[in-house]
Amino acid sequence: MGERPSDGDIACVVDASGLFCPMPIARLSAALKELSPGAIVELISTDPGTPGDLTAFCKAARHTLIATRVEPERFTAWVQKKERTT
Amino acid sequence: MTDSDVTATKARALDAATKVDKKPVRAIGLLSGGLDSMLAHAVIRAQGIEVRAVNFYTGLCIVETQRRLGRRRRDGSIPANEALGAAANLEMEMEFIDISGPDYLHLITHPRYGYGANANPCVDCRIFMFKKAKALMEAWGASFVFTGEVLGQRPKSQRRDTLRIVERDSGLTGRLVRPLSAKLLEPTIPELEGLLDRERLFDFRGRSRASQMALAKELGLTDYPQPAGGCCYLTDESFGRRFHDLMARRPERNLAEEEVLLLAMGRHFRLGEVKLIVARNETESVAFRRFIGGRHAVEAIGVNGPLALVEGAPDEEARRWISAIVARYGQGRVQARVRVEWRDVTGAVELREVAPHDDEAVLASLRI
Ligand code: SF4
Repeated sequence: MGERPSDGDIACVVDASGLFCPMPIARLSAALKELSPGAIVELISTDPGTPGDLTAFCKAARHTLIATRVEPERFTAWVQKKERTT
Repeated sequence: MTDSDVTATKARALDAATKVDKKPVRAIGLLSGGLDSMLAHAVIRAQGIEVRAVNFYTGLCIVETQRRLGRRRRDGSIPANEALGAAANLEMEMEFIDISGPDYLHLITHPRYGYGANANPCVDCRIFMFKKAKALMEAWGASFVFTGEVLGQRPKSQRRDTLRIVERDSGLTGRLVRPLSAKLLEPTIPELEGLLDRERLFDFRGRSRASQMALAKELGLTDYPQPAGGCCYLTDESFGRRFHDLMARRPERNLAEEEVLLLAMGRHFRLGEVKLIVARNETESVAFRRFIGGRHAVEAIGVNGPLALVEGAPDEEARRWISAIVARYGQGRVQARVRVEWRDVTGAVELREVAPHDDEAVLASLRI
């Protein structure tokens, strides 16, 4: 995994604090849908299961998990939307 | 659609099948995360069909509440979202469709086809989901919807007649494919149209998972969840008891979203028309605070103990019982007397001193 992208590279922030499975991923997925390929979304979650869900989600949808930050009560991740496959 | 409409549609479909159509064939798949739905997706994709996998969020998900309350599995791990895990194993994108809210709550309190073993109105629930899937199918230009249902696997919702009812009432007659049992069911429109090769579908039936496990092996699917569990509170026995207890006292059968959360938490006791809900731990006590409005709040003071909520209008005798029960679940249970504070719906505060309840058999008889 790489570095946290700079603020200017983040297209959108999904703050899912206080929401639990599957909502953080559902909100992230909805946000990515609206963006162009290659766009980066910052996800903030307080659900302890989000790291595992996010790994599965990125593997399934082929998005790139660029970086994560784990704090005691909060998890932040930066996800880059997959490039068009067709 | 009537049966004769279906026959006509199928006949037209057969005619159409003779023409060459180069458009990609698309389908909407319902991915619950269990082995059967994974297999159904693998089988349909193996026929070159473009699949959009969806998972319905009902707001009654066990994993969601477990995570909210910080619960862990027996092995210490965080409860996982099985549908996401399945999508990852299949390496396919999956969409969550949020169907939670008043319409879904109305469905579970007024099911046309009744309940399964607990509070699960699976037939109505599936009709509701499949109607949404049908709308997605039409919007996406897909030809059919499919699920991992297996004929005879569940006593009520997967009987032949019920499968037909679900197909009919969701408006998907002829366009709802169950790939794992397809050969035991009437050919569907995509099969008749030649979009789907019936010979490459299956004839699984009943509760045994042997055929599914053999197929999983053949398809190289090794990582799938065990059948136990599921993610729906409505199939949970104790949730079901609490749900029916509540509905039995509510002729209008209405249910608010917050009540669903409360049905899933704490220890529940029934004392006539009064209900007592005692938090099981610190996390639940914290979660209970947001439900205090409209309820009496009771907790021991001077010792650690759970927050309890009381619904209804407790008389003096009920207040004594409740105070003793609340005292029993805190650290004061070993003391001769415990002070208990009542904060009434009106905001009035009352202090009581009681001996903690010590008759487990009586307590058990009051449990919902
Ligand atoms: S188990 Fe729950 S989510 Fe599944 S069909 Fe039954 S009621 Fe609906």
